[in-house]
Amino acid sequence: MHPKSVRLRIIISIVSVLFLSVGIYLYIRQYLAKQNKAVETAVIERGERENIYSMGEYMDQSNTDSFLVSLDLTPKDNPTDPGKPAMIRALGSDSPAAYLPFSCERIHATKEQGICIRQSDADELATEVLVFDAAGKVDIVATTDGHPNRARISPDGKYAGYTSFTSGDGYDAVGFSTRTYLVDVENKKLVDSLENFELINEGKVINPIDKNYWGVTFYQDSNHFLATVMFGGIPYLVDGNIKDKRLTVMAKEIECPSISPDEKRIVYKKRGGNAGWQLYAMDLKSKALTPLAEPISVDDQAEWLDNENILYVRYNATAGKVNTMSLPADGSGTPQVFAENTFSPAVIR
Amino acid sequence: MYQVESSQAIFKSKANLWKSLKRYMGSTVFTLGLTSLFTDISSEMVSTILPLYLVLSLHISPFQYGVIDGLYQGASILVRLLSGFLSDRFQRPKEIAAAGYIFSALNKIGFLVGGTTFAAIGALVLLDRVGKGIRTPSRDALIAASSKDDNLATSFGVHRAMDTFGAMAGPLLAVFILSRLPGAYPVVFAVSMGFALIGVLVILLFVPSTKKVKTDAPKLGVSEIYKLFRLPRFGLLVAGTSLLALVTISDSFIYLTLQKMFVIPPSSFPLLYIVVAATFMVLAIPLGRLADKYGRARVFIFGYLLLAGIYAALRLPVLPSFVLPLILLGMGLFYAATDGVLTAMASKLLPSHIRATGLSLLATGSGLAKLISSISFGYLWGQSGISLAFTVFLAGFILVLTGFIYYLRKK
Repeated sequence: MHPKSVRLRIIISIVSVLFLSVGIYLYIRQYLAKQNKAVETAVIERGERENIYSMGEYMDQSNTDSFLVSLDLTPKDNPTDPGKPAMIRALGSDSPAAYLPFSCERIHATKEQGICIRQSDADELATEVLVFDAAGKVDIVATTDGHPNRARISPDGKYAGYTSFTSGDGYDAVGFSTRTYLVDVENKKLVDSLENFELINEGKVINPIDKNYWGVTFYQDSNHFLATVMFGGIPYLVDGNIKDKRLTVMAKEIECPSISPDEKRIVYKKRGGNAGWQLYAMDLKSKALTPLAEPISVDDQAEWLDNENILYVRYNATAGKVNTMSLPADGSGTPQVFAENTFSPAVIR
Repeated sequence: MYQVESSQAIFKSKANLWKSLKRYMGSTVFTLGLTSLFTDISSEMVSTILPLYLVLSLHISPFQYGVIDGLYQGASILVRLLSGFLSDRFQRPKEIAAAGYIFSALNKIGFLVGGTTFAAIGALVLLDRVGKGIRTPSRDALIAASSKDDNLATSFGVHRAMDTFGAMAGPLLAVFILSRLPGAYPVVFAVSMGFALIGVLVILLFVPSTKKVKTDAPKLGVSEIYKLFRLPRFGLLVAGTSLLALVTISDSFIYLTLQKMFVIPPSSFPLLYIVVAATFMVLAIPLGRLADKYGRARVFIFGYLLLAGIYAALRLPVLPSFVLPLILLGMGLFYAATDGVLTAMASKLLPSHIRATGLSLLATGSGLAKLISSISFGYLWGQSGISLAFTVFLAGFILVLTGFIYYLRKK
């Protein structure tokens, strides 16, 4: 390996470096292409399901106006799937449900678009955030830290919010910590983390070290939203404004709020005595509270089916089942199974 | 692990640096420096993201990580035996050094191609560390052989400077890549491999083979070890150093803990190493002066007490965010206060004819201790959680440190 002249050696080295650079460049290109394809192909590779549609296709061919988008928990054969398969079904109709071409840990959608968050393949501790539209286009908006937990999109489809657990694996865990981001769905990018918003309590700006945010829910005016903040061990309802990047504490002991379609009430969960949560409805004008008729602890952010009833997920450990339940929001009635083996319900009206 | 050479060598030769630098372009020292530069960019790129890659992407358990980290630290033992043997048999430092660099390049290729199982990673880490250990004495001999007596320090200074630059640039490059492409560890490996191969190219094409040069690699045979332990206080120093290394927690565990606690994004993880290394470099000389003024032992103990404080802080589940830079500065300060002090103390105790071998024994002892330390810490973490692991090590640490203080007071 010792050609005599220096010039020859320099030529050899330049050529080698060129080859190396080109090779590495091509490798990076191929790697990136694989990542982008991953969203579309890895998705359809899952299992041998035939009836995969985009949201729009499915909605076009059914004759109802309301749909349920959710995640399917029927046991499947694919352990490497980074989420649960997304499904759509027509409500009030006999048409069979169909699959959407991706899988998620949490999904929420409107007629035109939706948000899907799931565990990142490349990094166990990261959340991959996808937005999709009715035509079936899927885009990765961001990869942020933490395990995906909650996601909501605004009724007008402009904004979405999602929460990841960055440490601890439950709201009860010691050292629990969350990160909540707002997503600009139209422009497919992150707005900001709620941690960077100004937090106001009783007229004063506060900044507790241990603050954690989760459970975003939007008004029709998507600039306006509600969420939960916890500091000093107590959860509070906060009212948020995206343009002003401000959050104002409204009430105590309210977690995972969900705004009704007519914006008259919210349903939320409140910690009970047995390390569980009780569902409540609150009238936004009168602030009257009504406990809902579900005796079992519910650790979920409820989704309104219509102005009278809500949907939420009940975990039945003994039967090994996770079902979406429906319940009247006025404290009456009893919980009914709305959809079996279904998780993360999102109602499209 | 991620060790940046102290800046002393550079600063000592600063006067001659610019003039000599112009003379050096094209010289063997410079090309060896280039090789080191590229190779360091390559290996530090990978070593600073390896903890995250292993734990987050490959999902290995803390115990397994402890084993890998231990291998990383303790592979030097294996090397010492090998390199002394090799250099005596072959006496061809360029070829040996080139082989070492080639091993490291192969290591990067290995990560790219198949580094996904625990066994594969362990083998790759060993390959890399053995390669490094093999080439260092040969390379140093080459540098020495290519310099005259009067610019020996400058040669080494230049070389170390290029080394250090590479060691800083590598992690920064990793940060750049990961921040643009989150989770793209294979891309980091690919780029790292490119740099490693360029380094190999430089040494193969541009460094002339010297005629037989004696390398200074100390042989660590049984008779040498016996002689060393006959020295009155040296044996005690080796034991003490090894004990101290046994209860010291490896940097990468601390960084992993910091990452969890302060939610540091993976792309910023290598910055932890850089900040600590930079702090160390800046503070090394001032701390050295302090040590000369107030006594080495005092500064040494101060450094270790600081480390104990850091361990104690990391036992807590939550810390306010301003503590993070404090901890990083503290670690840099710790290294500045303690790095080289042990070597200095040992050198004083060793007669010159056996000094290199003695230092080698010292390093081997602590290498072995660090191997055990990392495996134990990983085991404790996996079984009982971070907090308990820190508590156990803190307790041991305080115990050993107290013993050390007592021993040093007696002198």
